Amino acid sequence: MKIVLYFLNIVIIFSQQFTGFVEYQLSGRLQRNDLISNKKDYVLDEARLQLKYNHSSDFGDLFFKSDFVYDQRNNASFFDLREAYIYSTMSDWLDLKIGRHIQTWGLGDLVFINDLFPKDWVSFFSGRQDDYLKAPSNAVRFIAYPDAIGIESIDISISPSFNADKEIGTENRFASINPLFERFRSNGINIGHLEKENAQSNYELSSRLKLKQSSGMNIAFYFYRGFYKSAQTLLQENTEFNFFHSRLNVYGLSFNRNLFGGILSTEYGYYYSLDDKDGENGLISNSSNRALILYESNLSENISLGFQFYIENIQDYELISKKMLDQNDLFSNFDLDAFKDENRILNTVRLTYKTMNETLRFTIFNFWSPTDKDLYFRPKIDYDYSDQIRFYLTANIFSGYGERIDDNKKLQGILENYNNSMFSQFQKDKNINITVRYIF
Amino acid sequence: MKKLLLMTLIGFAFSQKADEIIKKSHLNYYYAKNDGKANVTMTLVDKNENEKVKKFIMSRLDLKEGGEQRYFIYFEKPSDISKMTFMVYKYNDKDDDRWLYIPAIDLVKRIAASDKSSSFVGSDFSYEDVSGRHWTLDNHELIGEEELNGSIVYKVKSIAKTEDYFTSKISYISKENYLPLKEEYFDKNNDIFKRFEVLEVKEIDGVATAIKRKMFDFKNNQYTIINFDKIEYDIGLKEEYFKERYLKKAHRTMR
Repeated sequence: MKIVLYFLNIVIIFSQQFTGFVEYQLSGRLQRNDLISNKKDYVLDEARLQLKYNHSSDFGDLFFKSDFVYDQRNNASFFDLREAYIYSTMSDWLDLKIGRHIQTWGLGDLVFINDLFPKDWVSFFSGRQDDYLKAPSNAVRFIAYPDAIGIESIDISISPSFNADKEIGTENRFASINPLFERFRSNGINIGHLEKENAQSNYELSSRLKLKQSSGMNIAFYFYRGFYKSAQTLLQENTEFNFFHSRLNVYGLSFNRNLFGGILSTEYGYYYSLDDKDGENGLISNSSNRALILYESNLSENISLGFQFYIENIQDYELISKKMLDQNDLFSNFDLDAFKDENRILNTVRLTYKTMNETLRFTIFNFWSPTDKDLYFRPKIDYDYSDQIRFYLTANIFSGYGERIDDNKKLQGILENYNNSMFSQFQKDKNINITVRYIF
Repeated sequence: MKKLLLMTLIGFAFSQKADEIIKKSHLNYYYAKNDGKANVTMTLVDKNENEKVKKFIMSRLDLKEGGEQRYFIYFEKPSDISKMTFMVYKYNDKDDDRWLYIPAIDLVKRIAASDKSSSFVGSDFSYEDVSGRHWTLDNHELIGEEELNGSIVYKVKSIAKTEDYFTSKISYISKENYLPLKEEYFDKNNDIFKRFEVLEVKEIDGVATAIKRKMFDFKNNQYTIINFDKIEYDIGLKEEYFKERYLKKAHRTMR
């Protein structure tokens, strides 16, 4: 309560120049998870003040957005600079955005192929508002609009240093179960972080070429140069295992158009694993093909529906087990199939119902994977009580419905009743988030 | 027989006259000059008299009189949607193209062109109420002339040619400036379900402009009032301003 009053005070002082919100949110666990070391009943218990400042001039826009967070659960308070940038029109054909900003592209609905900008899945899984899934990065972005035939825009975004996704285990809110790491742990092997990681001192480049809309079609091409967004394992001198981010290039394209009153979108990306081009290293991700197709339409005035199909195909899959074993005996009898599939399929469905002049919105978003045999069900209710006061209720339900337990672990009783696929590993992290927000 | 023929002819003449009135009204109201811009305040009032207010800047460009148009909306309030933009390419012969830009995540999203009768940004006005319904979609009949709040108006009855969200509509169109001063929408049981009214008219750059409009929703017993402020016509908007570039960073003339 005290902290809320404190924030309110700041709000009153700054409300003349700033806009933003104050909010309080609580994500209660639906069950205990013994793998979480502090065994807290809440995933989130935090108060947040967001301040936004915008100044527009002929030179361009200056924008600033920052969150001040009091995290009661982890007993910490911190400052989270979401955005601070200058967005300027340099000439008729060139815009420049420089500073810290959040970037998004691609056509998937919460499934990303060519969008390799950093993500924060901890926020998403714990029920923070959807925009917190996208993490900021420090970048210079050039957006050119050449008056050339057929070209709408060329985007080039350069980050001087690599921006990883926020790992799910950070902040001790969720326990990730990775059979590979469990194998290390059960053999008493600690994995360190690579001291001089290539990624840390290396740039990231995201680019997009967008064609002009023709016959109602939007077509874009993408190229990414950087690193895998989540850490992988590196075996050095046959004894030492380290986390690191391996090199990745992505070549992709996307396409969308109106179809039967809805929007059809497709996206493809080839993930080229430069540190393991031929699948020789069993521990580094092999190159893969990724594609999605999405169809969204309005069933009625207030109801909309979207279906999405996503597939990921790992190249040289058959080599992985053998190559892992070649690297270390530790991987004998490793159940690769439980770790990853050659073809992973992920489907999503989004159903939205708006009522009371769109002030009350019900959304069901559901991921399910027939190959991982797991699902993530995310129902959400948003209610705008007034122009100032908003209520959000979000549930994060993770479940697995298949036999995906690493048998070896099950025998050892370490991971009994735990599944280890993408969503099912969080079965004991199911939570419900309630957020109250005051906007000013 | 002669009488019947005469009546048919008179009927035909009246429907032709009605078509002309509706068309003229449509062009005056939705296609005033070549382009236009206004600061809009939209107030929703529910049955308990609770108010919700949205503020935005709306720009329009006509590519062809009575035909293709571009709309651009730059949101200002509430502050959680400030800098959000919405763009519509409106066509007469096919579904609209629509895009929404969400600044919090820098996302440009192409959105499905929903039913034209669906709510315009959560208000009691529909997309069609904002951008117009092409006059050829209905059969029109002039059913009289009368006085409405001091103006002489044509009373025109329109019946949807194919099944639609309304069965019939009565428009009260000013004889002087052809503004639709009132419209009543009826369902198949001939019950009124929404009523549009112009509350204030102001002449701007020679164009009689409805600067205060109200839509009453009988089903939910609530209404929306739209106020137009700082209206400007023929400000020189260009087709290229209605592109993704300006969704992300609205052109200075459109904000």
